[in-house]
Amino acid sequence: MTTALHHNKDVVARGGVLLTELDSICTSFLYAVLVTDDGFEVASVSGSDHERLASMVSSLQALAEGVAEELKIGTSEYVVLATEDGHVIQLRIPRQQLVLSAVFNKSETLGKVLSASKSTAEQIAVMVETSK
Amino acid sequence: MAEHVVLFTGPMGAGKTAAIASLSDIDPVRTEAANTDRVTADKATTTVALDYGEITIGPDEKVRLYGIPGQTRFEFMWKVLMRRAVGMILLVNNDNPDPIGQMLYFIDYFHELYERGGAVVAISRSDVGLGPTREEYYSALAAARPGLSIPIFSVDARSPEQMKIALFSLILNIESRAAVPSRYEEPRQ
Ligand SMILES: Nc1nc2c(ncn2[C@@H]2O[C@H](COP(=O)(O)OP(=O)(O)OP(=O)(O)O)[C@@H](O)[C@H]2O)c(=O)[nH]1
Ligand SMILES: [Mg+2]
Repeated sequence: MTTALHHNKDVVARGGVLLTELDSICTSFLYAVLVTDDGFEVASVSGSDHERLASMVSSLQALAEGVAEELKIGTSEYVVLATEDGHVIQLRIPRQQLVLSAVFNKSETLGKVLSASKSTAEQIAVMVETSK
Repeated sequence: MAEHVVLFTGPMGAGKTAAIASLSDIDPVRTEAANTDRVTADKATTTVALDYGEITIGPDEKVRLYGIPGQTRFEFMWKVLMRRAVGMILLVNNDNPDPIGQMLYFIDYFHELYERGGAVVAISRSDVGLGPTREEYYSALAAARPGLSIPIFSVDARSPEQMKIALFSLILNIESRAAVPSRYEEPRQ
């Protein structure tokens, strides 16, 4: 059995770096967490009580993917939670059992932060594939 | 049509997902994710949000079956799911390191469901690990929580027949309590 990704030091460290880069690209960035499908935190930037958030991200992702499957409308690309004060963007890391969830305030457009988050997710995928 | 909502609770690997799959008439809704905690339960997947199934148990009676994710990290889901339910099937895997402690923990956490409709305990996986006997569960329950009336079954969660016995006895209990209102007030949603 391979090591779970949240115990893989290389993935944890490089995941943290990529999340920090997302922070520096988006001025509206508040915090982000990278979690395993079953809700363990791999890496995070800012915020607090990530353990609880990591579980919630995992539940929300499973429900969103379940709804997409039920409706037979293809696989889920991303989940957006729009609130009065911000956006939560959540998406699967391509080809991995990992989910990225990032929280932004409304000082930038949804399009901007969505495209930045997608690009971060793709970079994380490549990072995991090339990790030790 | 009368409808009941029953919640399947219990620790990781107890067989909640398996039990709902055994009982449900419809293809159950599952939220399984790859399990990275193979120490607690050595299985490929674990529930991360809920299980949902339905069973019709008579010409005019439908039971909605919800299952919790067993890991305590998902406790926020427990609260959400508890609101809908009127009774509980508490599964405890007999190969658990502390099966009696787990039984008491879930009885306490979901006590509201016992009050509202009733609860049964279903001990699973007795063929896998040599845990306490049914009598030992009964005496532990009587000693730790005197006054509770909770039947304890021994089941294989994969067996529809065995799970039906536990479910039907819970439903009968819920109905008999509803027919003879106790001093207990139904909580409002
Ligand atoms: N041998 C044996 N296996 C059983 C018995 N009851 C259930 N199982 C198996 O035990 C496992 C229980 O896993 P799940 O149904 O996923 O357990 P769960 O309670 O939903 O666990 P979480 O969702 O992780 O909280 C499954 O592989 C079942 O097939 C039993 O009585 N004997
Ligand atoms: Mg389950």
